[in-house]
Amino acid sequence: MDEKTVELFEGISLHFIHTERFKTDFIAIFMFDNLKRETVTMNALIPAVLRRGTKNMPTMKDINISLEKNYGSVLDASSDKIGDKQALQFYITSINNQYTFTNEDLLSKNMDLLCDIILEPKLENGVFDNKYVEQEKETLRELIKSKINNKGSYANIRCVEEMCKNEPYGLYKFGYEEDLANITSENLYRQYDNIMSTSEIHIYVSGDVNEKEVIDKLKNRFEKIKRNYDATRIEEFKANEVAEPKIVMESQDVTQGKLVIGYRVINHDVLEDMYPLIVYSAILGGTPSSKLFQNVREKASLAYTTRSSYLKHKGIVLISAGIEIDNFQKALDLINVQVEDMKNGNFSEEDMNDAKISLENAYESYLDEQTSIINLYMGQRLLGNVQSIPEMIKNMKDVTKEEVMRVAKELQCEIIYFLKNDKEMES
Amino acid sequence: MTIEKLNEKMYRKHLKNGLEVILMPKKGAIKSYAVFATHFGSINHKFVPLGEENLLTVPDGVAHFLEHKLFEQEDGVNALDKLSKIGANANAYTTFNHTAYLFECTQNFDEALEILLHFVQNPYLTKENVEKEKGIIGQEIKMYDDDPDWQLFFGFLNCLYNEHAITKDIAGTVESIAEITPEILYKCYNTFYDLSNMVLCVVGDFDEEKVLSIIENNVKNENEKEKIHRENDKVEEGINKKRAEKVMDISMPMFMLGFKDDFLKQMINVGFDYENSELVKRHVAIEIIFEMLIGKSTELYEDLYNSGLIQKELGSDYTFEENYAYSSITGESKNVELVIQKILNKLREMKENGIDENELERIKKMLYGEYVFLFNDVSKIGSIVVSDYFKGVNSFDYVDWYRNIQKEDVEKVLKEHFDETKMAVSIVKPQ
Repeated sequence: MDEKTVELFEGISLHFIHTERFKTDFIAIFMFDNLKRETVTMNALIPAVLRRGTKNMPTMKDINISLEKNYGSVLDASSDKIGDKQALQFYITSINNQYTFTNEDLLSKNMDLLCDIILEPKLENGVFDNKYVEQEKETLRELIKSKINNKGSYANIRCVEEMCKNEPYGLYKFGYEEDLANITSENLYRQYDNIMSTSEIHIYVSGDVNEKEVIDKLKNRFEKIKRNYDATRIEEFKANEVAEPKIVMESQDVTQGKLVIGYRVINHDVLEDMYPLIVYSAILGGTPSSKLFQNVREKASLAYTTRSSYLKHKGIVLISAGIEIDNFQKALDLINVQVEDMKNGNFSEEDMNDAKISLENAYESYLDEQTSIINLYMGQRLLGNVQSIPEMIKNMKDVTKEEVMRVAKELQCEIIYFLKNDKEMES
Repeated sequence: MTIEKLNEKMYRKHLKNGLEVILMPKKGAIKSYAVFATHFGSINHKFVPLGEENLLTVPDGVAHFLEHKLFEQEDGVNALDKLSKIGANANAYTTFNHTAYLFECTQNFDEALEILLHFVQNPYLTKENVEKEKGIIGQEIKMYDDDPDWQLFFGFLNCLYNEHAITKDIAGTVESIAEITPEILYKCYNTFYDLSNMVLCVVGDFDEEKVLSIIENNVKNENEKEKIHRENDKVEEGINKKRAEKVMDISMPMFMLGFKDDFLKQMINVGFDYENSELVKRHVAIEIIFEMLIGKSTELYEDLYNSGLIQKELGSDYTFEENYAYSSITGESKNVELVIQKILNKLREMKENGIDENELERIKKMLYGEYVFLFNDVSKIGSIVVSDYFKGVNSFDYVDWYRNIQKEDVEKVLKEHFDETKMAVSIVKPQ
């Protein structure tokens, strides 16, 4: 299931992932922008406004009725942050034509629907409908506020925010409440127009489809937009000097403490370091046989959840654990022992093999998951290095213990973040 | 016995020892999935242990505790590690009425299946390893204490039910699990982990005969036992209270509104019982009603959204198990009371005027399509089939009802189920 790429227009590529494995067809469209404080909130708002209405289907209700008629096709418009970049992303998925009651051509209908959403929004005096913009600003405000609801992900967000204070990656992916006031239908439309005209656009189509029909349809739709592609739009960001480790404590009304420790990989070179770090993170805290799971959970009974994750687009490793608030120091010390063990090579060939087989299983599983494979290829494209699943497996398996120790030594702790409550924990 | 739908095949066999085996071969799938489950969940707190005569009441959280402990093996190597070492991604979960052990893998399937069958049939519980688990489960309980959705859900169940064990947290409390001992766990194990109380479902690209022979060679060779004497809590009449509220550190009030369903006058028979196709029909009717009430193509949804009363779609669900059933709507709003009022007004209107035929046909297509989506993934298929098994229904019946249910069927359920004297609301509010 490799991707086959067709250049539709300058800066607009179409990638086919042909497969007969699924009962569904899936189309995804991504546009990339730099992650910046000036535009992060606007970029988060644009997909939401586009989802509200098109020239032909002016209300949300019209769009939703069409989706229901198309056998419950699912449409999603959102934004995400990937490293120091922001992606505007649009998906539509439907059951394959052969499962409809009367062999209907859902794919073609859905391509049009998705193109309508992106290319032909409902306008008023040449800009976005003001009513929709104002309503979506309020929805976004609540979405931004709701980050406190899930305590685990909140602790992760806050850790990254504090760790990457002076970098794009420290920005919250949905933006900031205080930036909403200055957004108008005019300036939002200008930003949309600018992205449509100059950004890099990637379209993914996965399923059992007639490629020629898809190419013809999308060519026809996308040739109508005014393009002025700017290949230099996306800028590379270099992180500052590594900072001194700091401790950040925050209080909420919680019963469990959430500990998140952030490490930076010094001189992170993604092509060189990615696979060693993936194996590193799996041994440290990616599987049930990992050091964190075995020592922090199974042996010391300190946590129910504890894991490590490697953010390859950024060269950061995060370790997290949900613990008794009073056990902060105990858990921290025990985690530090595991991290030191990794540096000193206190892990066996068996640990290496356990991690590798578990990763191999995860990579192969991508082939059975339509969205995972698209997101994987899209993520690789941002790193400038698209690899097939067998290539990924080979590269991962070639990692040696020495390489894992090398990257282990390049990790520097920058932050210890702890979400606790006021009542407990005196120190 | 074999059933075919949507290019999927379901092959069933009831073994001599009582184990129900369900095989779903899926050509071309890379992943394989297996789930081994017992009809023992958090509500089974009163029963006559195997070989005894008197009823025993066990501490809350015992089924879940046992789920954690079964991975522990006599050779000192945890079964989770064993599976992880051969690349299988394993897990387990406990619900109100069953406990399931599962794995998913892309290679070494035969070996993984043998490990699964072995560890679930061979417990190793010691005083030491039981004590050790209390700290871990204590943290799991506290994680849920901080989870607003979970708190909202139990607030709701506490409104609908009074004494029923469904009102107790599946994992128990830090206090209740403190009372758990290896003896109690063994009594539960010996009673409920008998093969005649269990089901095994395998989904993937495999040869049926070969998988069946692995299963037969790795399960105990014994005769099917008598039905377990369990004292399930009675189906309660009416509801406990109309309303529950709780304050947590969240951004916006959340609500769960729902109706207790007393349609289940007697308990459902677990296992596939084709008389229960009526239950599937009822489930489909309630799903359709919810789509027409608060779905994304309704005027009510558009009105709530445009007036800023809701920011995202409302969720809805219908749950039915052996001795309880209810429907629910969940959402978040600055003005929960007004949203509830508007939902109830629309519901009354629907009950009075009936439903629209065109809209019904559109919603049926949509629900059918959404159901087909689920059959992309081996793990989704496996978990649907197993949870339906414990509901006493056949998963493929949904495909037929999504196509064939009639206006009268839906309107009948609309009048019957949505009875406001059996309605309750749970709310979680910010400080």
